[in-house]
Amino acid sequence: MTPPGESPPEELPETLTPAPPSIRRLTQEQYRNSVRDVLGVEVQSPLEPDSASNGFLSVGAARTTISQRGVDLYETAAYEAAQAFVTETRASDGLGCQPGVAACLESSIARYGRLLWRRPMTEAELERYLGIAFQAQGALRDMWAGIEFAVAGMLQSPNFLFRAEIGSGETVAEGRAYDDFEMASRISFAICNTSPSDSLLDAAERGELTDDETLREHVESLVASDCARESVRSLFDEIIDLRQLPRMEKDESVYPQATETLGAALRESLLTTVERWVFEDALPYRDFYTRSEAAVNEEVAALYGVSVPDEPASYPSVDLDDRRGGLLTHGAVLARHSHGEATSPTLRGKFVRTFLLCQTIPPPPDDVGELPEPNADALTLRERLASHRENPACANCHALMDPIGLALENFDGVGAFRETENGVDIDASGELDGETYPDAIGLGQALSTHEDLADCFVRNLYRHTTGHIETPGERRTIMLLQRGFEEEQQITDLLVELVMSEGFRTVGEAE
Amino acid sequence: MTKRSLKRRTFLRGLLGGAAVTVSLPVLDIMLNENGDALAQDGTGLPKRFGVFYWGNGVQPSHWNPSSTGAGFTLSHALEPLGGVKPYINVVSGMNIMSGNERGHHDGTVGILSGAPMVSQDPMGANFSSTFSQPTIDQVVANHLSAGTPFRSIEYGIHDGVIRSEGSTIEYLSHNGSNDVNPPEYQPRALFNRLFGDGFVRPEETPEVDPRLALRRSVLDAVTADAAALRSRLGRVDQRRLDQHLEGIRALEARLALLDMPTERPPRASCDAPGTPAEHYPGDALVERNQVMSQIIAMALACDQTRVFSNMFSGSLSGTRYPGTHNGHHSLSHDEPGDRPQMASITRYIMERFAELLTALRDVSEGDSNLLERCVILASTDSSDSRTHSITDYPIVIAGRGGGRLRGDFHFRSGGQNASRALLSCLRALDIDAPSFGHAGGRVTEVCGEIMV
Repeated sequence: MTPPGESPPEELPETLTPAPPSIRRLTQEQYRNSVRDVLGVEVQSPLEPDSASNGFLSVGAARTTISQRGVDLYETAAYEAAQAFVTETRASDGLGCQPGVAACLESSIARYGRLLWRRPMTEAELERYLGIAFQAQGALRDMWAGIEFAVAGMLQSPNFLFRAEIGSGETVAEGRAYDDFEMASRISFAICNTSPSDSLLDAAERGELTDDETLREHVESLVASDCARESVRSLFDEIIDLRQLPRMEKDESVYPQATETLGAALRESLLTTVERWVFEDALPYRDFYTRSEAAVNEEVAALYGVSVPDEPASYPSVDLDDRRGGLLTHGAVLARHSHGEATSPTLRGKFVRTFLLCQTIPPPPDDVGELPEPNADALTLRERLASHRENPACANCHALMDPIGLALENFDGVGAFRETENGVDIDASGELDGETYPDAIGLGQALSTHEDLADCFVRNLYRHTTGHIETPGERRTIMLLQRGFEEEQQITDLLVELVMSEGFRTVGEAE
Repeated sequence: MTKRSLKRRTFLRGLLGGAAVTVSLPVLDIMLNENGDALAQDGTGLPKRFGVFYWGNGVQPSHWNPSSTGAGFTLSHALEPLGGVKPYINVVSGMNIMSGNERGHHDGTVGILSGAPMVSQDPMGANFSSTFSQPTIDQVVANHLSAGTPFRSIEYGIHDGVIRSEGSTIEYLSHNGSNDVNPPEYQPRALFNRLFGDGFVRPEETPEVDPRLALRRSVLDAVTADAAALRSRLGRVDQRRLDQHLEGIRALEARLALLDMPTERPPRASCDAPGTPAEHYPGDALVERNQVMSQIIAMALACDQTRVFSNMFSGSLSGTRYPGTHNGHHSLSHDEPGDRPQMASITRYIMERFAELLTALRDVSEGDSNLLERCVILASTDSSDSRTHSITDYPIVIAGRGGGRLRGDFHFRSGGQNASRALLSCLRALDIDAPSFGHAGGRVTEVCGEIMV
């Protein structure tokens, strides 16, 4: 790991070497959002599972492919969606013409093909799917079958399932630029986590997404729209690793509050809190770790010992008491980074180092040894973990993690506050890279002013939106974004600047 | 039974909208030769099958290793649940994974499933991940065994609380290559639907003629043409990823074709499609899931829907909570002090589930014997001694008799041979004439002759 506060200021590299292109499979969310937005259909059936690499589903989506089982799942989902679309469109006269008429069939396929494939179809492609439509109409003696099979086909095509953003634009000094339609996809998935709208594709057709000025207008208006809320939620889902929280396995004899719904409620609570901080309060990112507030339902409120305000909104926001401050004291973080029956200062510390500060913790040594059971000499986890810090093989790494996590020991494995452990008062003091603190509130303050916190968030957002871990050649883009974010720490501004950055708009040579 | 000539395959062919439907008749006893182990008309033997049973978080070697060796060995505490199928059990101990050990859980998994080093994905400043460098053994076997079966291989899992943030090595068992995985089914209903739902022809029924079949195939042709056009614009790495997608499309097309035209696949006497399982089994219903999945996979083999399967019983690093224990599995695997009674009970519990799978296979008779007789099933985990992430003295069981190629009821204790020998032995027992198995330090050219006949 990088020793804190010792390196000289880094110079800004003069040029960018963009990362190589990589086609990206739609994540499950992107698939479902796209079908919902283009066809007006909610897909229920299972899809190929997402795979995280380096902690990011978006990085996994750029590395994995589609399995044989995935092809089967996508086929089933495609017909489910296409049939629901036909039922709805037929009833509402949604095409505005009769698909028995060849011109109507052709214009409808072209229209939905463009929306699903995020670019206009070529003539050969249109002909191919028109052929299928005619064949289906003939075989099934139903003019709407033509729409069903053409749509089901387009949904199974790699042109829909993969985002082929490969740099089809002009050659620039650093590599190749993405063309307008590739940019429409990149912008829309980055900000809204769904396929580009009809009007964004129109803008692409007019060449507005490769021009600085018009691009900025489109990006700013998207970031200001409601759809950006989804992508911010999905980002925090990813960084805090909350997707598995609804299925957390807790020992009910230790944590009677851990009902089947608690994990999902904690996740929703954190994501709603963050969404409001970003879009309603314009809260600087550093304050996420000190602000004592949470969006709660009955279950989360009970865990925090507060009451739900009488407001119509789902998950109304409430001030928490002065023992909690910032995201680290949210049940979602505390429960996610704990064991099933106990807290884990080590896991909590590792989470802060890896995901919030972008630091690397080396793997544990081979002979990791045993943690002693609670005994008269070591009743608290702090005392038991002390053995790790006495053993030189363990000490280096545990000294990086434990003092962070030990400050959260006042919160048990599901995030409830506690004063004691096995009858002994908990000592929640700790230290983070030179800053010492008496408790979790102090940890939050130390974290909020840590020099790596904002820089790491920029890197995480870049990873999440571009689908790769930043390469050394992209250092220039990363540094410029970090400098821009440093002062105000507004996530919406960062999202705009990220999409405007040369790293996001150019691509290197294919591998 | 009266002897009379019977065409090996009888089919009904319905034509409407260009689609045809085939109905197979089961293998009847008169189709078998006098030994009952081959189809009479052409002498084709019943196929061999291969499976993998994998669980996470290693073992405690003192619980695992049997105290005696050779034929008729005495089962250890951990292996006792396999007593009912002991004639089919080959225990191989004392072998070492030799493809490297940089990272606990990761290297053992990759070594025992592929005989090759892992690919570390460690960009620094982000979570560690890894993937495989080579296909897993089930996919190597599928290259040889699966031609003509509807499913090249079937993957399923029992405990779905796997760790999803350390890369494909930890998240999935079956790999075609780096980052190229075959994800498992965790719900029995989903596995059932895949194998015996739409697309499965029950021998005794006349299926509905489906004019949509030909249309679905035309759609796949169009998708294939799209892929070809896209492919030409991609770099080498992306081309490979797209090729894998195309392979899936071809497999689906072939399966639809099986419903659309007569084939040379012989029907199977012991094929009796299982009943539809319940819609949903909760995450902690491990016993029920395992039992139902075992029945389904046994019938999938008997009906020749597939010849290769893998069961990721539980994930590496996962905190699975087992009955009668007070901590998650991964914590216990490192932290339980003393004689480790909880780890012992967990390993036994997992071997009970493995025994249920083997029993389900043994209980399907086929020809003069049973399914398990013709199977080779590799069972192992992600490390040897879970406390230290060691990969020496690796826990390995090879179940089944490979149609007579494996001894059964045998414990071979090696003095530190390369564990890939066990994998090459699996291939040879399946009559796959591979000169070697594995890569780099994991490469071997010798089998583990002691367990082979």
